[in-house]
Amino acid sequence: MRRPDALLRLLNAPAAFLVVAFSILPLLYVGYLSFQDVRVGMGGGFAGLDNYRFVLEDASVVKAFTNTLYFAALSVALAVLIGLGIALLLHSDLQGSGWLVAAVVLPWAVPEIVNALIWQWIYSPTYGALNGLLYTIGAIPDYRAWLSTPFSAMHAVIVAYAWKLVPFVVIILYAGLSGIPAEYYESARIDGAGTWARFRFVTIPLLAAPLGVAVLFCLVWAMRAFDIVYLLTRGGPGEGTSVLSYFVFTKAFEFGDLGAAAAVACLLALLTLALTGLYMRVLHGAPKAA
Amino acid sequence: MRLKRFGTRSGSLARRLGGSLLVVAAGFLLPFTASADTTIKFMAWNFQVETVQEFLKQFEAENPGIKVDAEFIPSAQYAAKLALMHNANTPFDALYVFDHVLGSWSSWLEPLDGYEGAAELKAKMLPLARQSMTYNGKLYGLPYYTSYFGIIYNRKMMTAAGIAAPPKTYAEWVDQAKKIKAAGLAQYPMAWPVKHTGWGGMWVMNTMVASRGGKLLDANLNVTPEALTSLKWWEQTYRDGLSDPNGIELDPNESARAFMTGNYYTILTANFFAGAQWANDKEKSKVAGAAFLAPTPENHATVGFARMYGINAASTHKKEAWQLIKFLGATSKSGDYVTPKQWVEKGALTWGYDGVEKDPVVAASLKSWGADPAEVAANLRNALAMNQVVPFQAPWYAEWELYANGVLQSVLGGRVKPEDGVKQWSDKAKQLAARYQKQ
Repeated sequence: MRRPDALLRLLNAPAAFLVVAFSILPLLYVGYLSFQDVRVGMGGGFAGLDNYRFVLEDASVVKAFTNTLYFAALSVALAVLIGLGIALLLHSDLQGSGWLVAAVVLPWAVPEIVNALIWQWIYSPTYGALNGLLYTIGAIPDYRAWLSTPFSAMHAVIVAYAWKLVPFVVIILYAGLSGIPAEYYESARIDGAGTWARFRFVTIPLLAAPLGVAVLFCLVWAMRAFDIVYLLTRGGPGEGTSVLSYFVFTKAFEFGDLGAAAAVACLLALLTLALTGLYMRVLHGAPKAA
Repeated sequence: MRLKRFGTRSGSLARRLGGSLLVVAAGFLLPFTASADTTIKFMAWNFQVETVQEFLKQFEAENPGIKVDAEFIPSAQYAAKLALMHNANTPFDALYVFDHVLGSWSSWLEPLDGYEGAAELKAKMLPLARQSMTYNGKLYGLPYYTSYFGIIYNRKMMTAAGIAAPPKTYAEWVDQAKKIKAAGLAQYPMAWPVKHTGWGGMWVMNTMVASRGGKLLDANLNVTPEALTSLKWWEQTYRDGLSDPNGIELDPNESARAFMTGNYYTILTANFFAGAQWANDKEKSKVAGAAFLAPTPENHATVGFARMYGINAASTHKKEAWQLIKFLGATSKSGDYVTPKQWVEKGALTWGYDGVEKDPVVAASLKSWGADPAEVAANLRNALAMNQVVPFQAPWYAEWELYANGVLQSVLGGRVKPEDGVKQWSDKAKQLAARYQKQ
């Protein structure tokens, strides 16, 4: 009995080493930095809770915090709604669904930077596809700068980010739908359940677990979304699309305030952890698919 | 015969072996021979890379024994990357330096005052260049270029509206813009560089404040009345439909390109945007031949800035690095301003030394796009350094400017009142100054 345990530990050791070296130690170091008065190129001393006090009193952090929550909630909701719709469509034995799967997965294969550039072109105030389309159908009288007000910029970024999340949601939910036995639907139909009732009382409860996984992953990714904001708006206009991860980047790498950046990063990690914990609790109460 | 043949073969073998040994020995020796050359690691941002590489070749030709290994970084990431390289002790010798980060980089940049010929060069520098490159009394750079702000106007549009001359006061500027709008010549006559990242909005703001004879922040970091007046005036142009609300996310280059479409009357921006590579580019600009540079309104005072060449204090090749930056930022061995002159021709980037405008090549280049060399020289000579209007060299300035640009966008976009905007500027300046002072 002891020998297999030792072998398992040995086999797990490289992976455990990597996790400790590249996840746990950096996390602990960021935690340590958040209590230090340290700037790039300068040594620091113990700062107590000063960094936390500074960032919590900083209106820019509060703005980034609310932006992050709004961005994450809306982009995940949008991705899940669209993803669920596409997954249901694929599951309905639609002709040509193979092509649809390929088309749906495509955004996932596109690197983040390419995704952002594509959306830059789409939103361009002078030659953008969105302006071209809306102008052609008469929806707007003139070309607009979609990234020039905080409201439109935030929603433009959300759409661009959700587009990238949708394939992941589709794959998870399509797999979940495939795992629901056809007999359940048959029984519901015999009991007189219509399309909506079958969706409401069969599909949704049995899809809760994969849905939970999709939401959880998307939420964690959205909470730390950086690339799309950096490449599309750089947090602007004003601080209209500044999210916590972008704030941490500018604070640490543009202005070298490692203490304050680490404090915000720790708060972001705690927030993500709390949301994950909350969702896991909800998830464990949900019925499981057969 | 056999022996002879063997001997021949053996001789051939020996020759081959000898040849091989020579090759191997050469292989070993080559790196040592090459090490007689000193290689300077030079960090630069990615503006006109081919031109810079051409300059480096000229330098290497003039300085046998010194090689330059240049690395080009996108300008948007330049400051962050260099700070990280310094922090990680990555070796590099010479570099481009933005004047607005000089305060925070001065701790690891080499003061140049003691270098051979530095005092003479400093004496020949324009006040704008000297002040922009000096921090706490020490010189940290030689000028890559200096630039000042002015109004670039579309003369074709001005003449069509029956206007005789570009605006001399802010009130006149608004009147002219209204006239142009009323005549249907432009939907929004005024274009501005106001994107929140990079230089733009706040530098224009500093220019407006300087032209009213004031400073942006006083000694207590409160925003001055001149700054509030300027901000109110600017915001009103948006409310009156004279400034383009779609242009609020345009950076300096993008706003200059917008001006080049011929849809605008004026743009207040850096002087080089009036050059042959921008507004007066005959192939790309619809206002080529009609874009002229006018001084700022009111008292015509303006601000300028300088980009510079510096030396990493941790460099192990400071002497050679000095030779490089002297060639790039001043003169060749013959005493000629080789690269400053070529930058005027190739990028409309103006110089940092007195008298460069008298060079026939420089004068011809300026005249080719309608500029008067004497006027450009006078503007460069009289331009205030940015740190005479705002605490430009304070270590917290760059962080404050990013925030202030965002607030400016909110004010111009009508989401924040000018009075609240200036309060936010002041509060942030005090908050950051206190934090940096503590650190």
